[in-house]
Amino acid sequence: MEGILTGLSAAFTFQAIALVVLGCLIGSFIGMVPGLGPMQVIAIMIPVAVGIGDPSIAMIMLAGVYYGAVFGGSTSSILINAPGVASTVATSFDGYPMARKGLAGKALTIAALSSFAGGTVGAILLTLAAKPLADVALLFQSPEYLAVMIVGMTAVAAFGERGRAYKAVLMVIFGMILASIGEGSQFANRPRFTFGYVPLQDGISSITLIMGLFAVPEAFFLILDPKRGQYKGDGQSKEINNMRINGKEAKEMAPVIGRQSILGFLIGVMPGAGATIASLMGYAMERNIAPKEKRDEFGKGSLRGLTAPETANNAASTGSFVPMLTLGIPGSGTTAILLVALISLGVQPGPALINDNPDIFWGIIISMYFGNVVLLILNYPLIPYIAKLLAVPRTFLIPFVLFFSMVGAYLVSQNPTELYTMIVLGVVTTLLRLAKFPIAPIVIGFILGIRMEDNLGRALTDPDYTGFSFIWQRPMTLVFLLIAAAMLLYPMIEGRLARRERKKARDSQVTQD
Amino acid sequence: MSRFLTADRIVGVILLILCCLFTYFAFDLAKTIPPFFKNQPMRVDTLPRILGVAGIIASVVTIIAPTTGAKARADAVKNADADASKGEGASEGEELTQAQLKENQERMADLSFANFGQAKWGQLVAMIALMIVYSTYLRAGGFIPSTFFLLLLGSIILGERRWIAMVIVSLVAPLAIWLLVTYVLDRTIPPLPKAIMNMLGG
Repeated sequence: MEGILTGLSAAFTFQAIALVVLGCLIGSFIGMVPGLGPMQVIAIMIPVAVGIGDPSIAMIMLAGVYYGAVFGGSTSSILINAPGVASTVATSFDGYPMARKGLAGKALTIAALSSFAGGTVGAILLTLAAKPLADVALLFQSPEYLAVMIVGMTAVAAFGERGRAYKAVLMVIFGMILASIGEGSQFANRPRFTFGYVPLQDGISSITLIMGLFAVPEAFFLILDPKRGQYKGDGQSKEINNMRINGKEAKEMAPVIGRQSILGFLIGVMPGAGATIASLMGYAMERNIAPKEKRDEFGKGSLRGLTAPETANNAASTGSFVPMLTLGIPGSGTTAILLVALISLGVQPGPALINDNPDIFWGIIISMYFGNVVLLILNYPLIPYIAKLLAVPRTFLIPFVLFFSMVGAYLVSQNPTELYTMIVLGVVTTLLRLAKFPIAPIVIGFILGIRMEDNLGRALTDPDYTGFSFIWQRPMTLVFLLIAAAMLLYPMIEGRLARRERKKARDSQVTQD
Repeated sequence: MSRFLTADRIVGVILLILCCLFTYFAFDLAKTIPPFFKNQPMRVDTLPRILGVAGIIASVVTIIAPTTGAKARADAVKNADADASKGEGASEGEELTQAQLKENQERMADLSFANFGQAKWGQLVAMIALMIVYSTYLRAGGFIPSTFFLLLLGSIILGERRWIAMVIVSLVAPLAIWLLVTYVLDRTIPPLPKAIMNMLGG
């Protein structure tokens, strides 16, 4: 309770409110641009956040940017059938058909209300869950931290791509290798792998890394593929007129919201399974449990079909804050980038956050309620006007994305080396994405790499254990490590089984044909 | 793309080479550790050694993992994504969802090695060259003129020819961003070329 008050006092200053509003606006505007999603928007906004200086206010603003970007993605899904990010793909299934029927206004209202409800329920669950979880986490010592980080990493790999977890594992290791350059860890008492090159001594800056990993490759892909992110709609953004919904519709939405906000939140809490999976699962589930006549509406502008993914995706976005705030472990690309922001602001994430920096911890949570309200009452009426700005030509958009990335990286140390590093990372990431390697695990490995080294060091140097004996001397550590091993091995085995099943199914289909 | 030389394997081999190099340097690091630190349980090269070996294992797995040709694999990915969307007990009438998913996945999908040829590689290379030049001469050329040329040339590379709009945008944006950086973020970036700044006594 006290914490919530701290959060309220952090979030309800004039500056904080103004910045949440600004963040939501910027987020929803950029989030609407096809191709640019929350990760790109937040990455570009981090230098601004660092410039603000006060960590709690800066994080509150970034949280606003995040919700805004998620919301903006839904808007472009509905209006022009161009989901800016994967997590709003399911929104376009029924949102766009609705808009095409001339119900664009209604679809936006449903999306806004579902997002609001999903986000708010998520925020309430987060409020309830955060404190107890952080309390448990405070019992952890270095071995447990180490083990929990390994669990987080393997979860990211396991949920990332079915049956190809090893690709994600390779990317996590790649991120950790990048993190080991320079003198990051307290146990690296001399610069490593710099080859005498002085600007590398401090290691790769995390801001440069995320620009190179997320913003730059996105721009490169927009260059390579002029059709990328462009919509297949009929080329006209829909006329937005009647935005009202009636009581009957609200009644139909309510149970869907109830189910999907809780389910979405739980999916979001799991590392690696974020808003995209939650929204697709939510859509499929509502479709399956709907009565026959309602089920036929799915895909043709169903109210439930729009409510479900919108609720689930926002609840999951909120849920993904749970491991980030309580353990300091990012479960998704977006929360990893938010953690980069936190670290750049000089705040050490982890279970101690709730006690050391209650203003940040609760400020972020309170700003979620607040951000949801801002989106509902401020952004939503503005949509018709913002939507007109959607048609930024790529010839202007791309140079700007690159320019913002470069300014952001340059501000880190005003050294061209940062920019060269960023360009190299951008090229490498583009190639990795061409080969369909997941990128988010790199940043997660990068962020956890140094902290893992610190905890490994503390565990190894602890006189209570000899060498790696902490693994079996501390039962909790052992349990976590076993969970990690199981998660890593299960999808590989499952993937193989599923492939066999599918092959069988395909064979039988062929004979039927 | 041949059956055995898949994108996964190409990347796997490259990363394997990098991981081997990294492992070599990680083990080489021991030479630089002073004698006193050598017997510590945690040394500067402890984690790098583990990482190097783990990286080699992971890249070898990536290389030897079974692949059934690029096309089958793409199908598998699509199916896997569709699986993820099914949730509990999806059964009848899921073709619709699958079709939607497929369409959307196609739209959202990155380019792949399959449609390599159609991509605008020339534009990309030109843009990267422009970025490198910008990075190198940003300090000497001053923020505002350098950025003006970056944005203008960037649009030209991408095929934009609405000159008036281009010039206005390329002039206004650097000014606005410079003001933002200087007065809101409170950071100094020299706005004009070094020579002029020197003359102004800055």
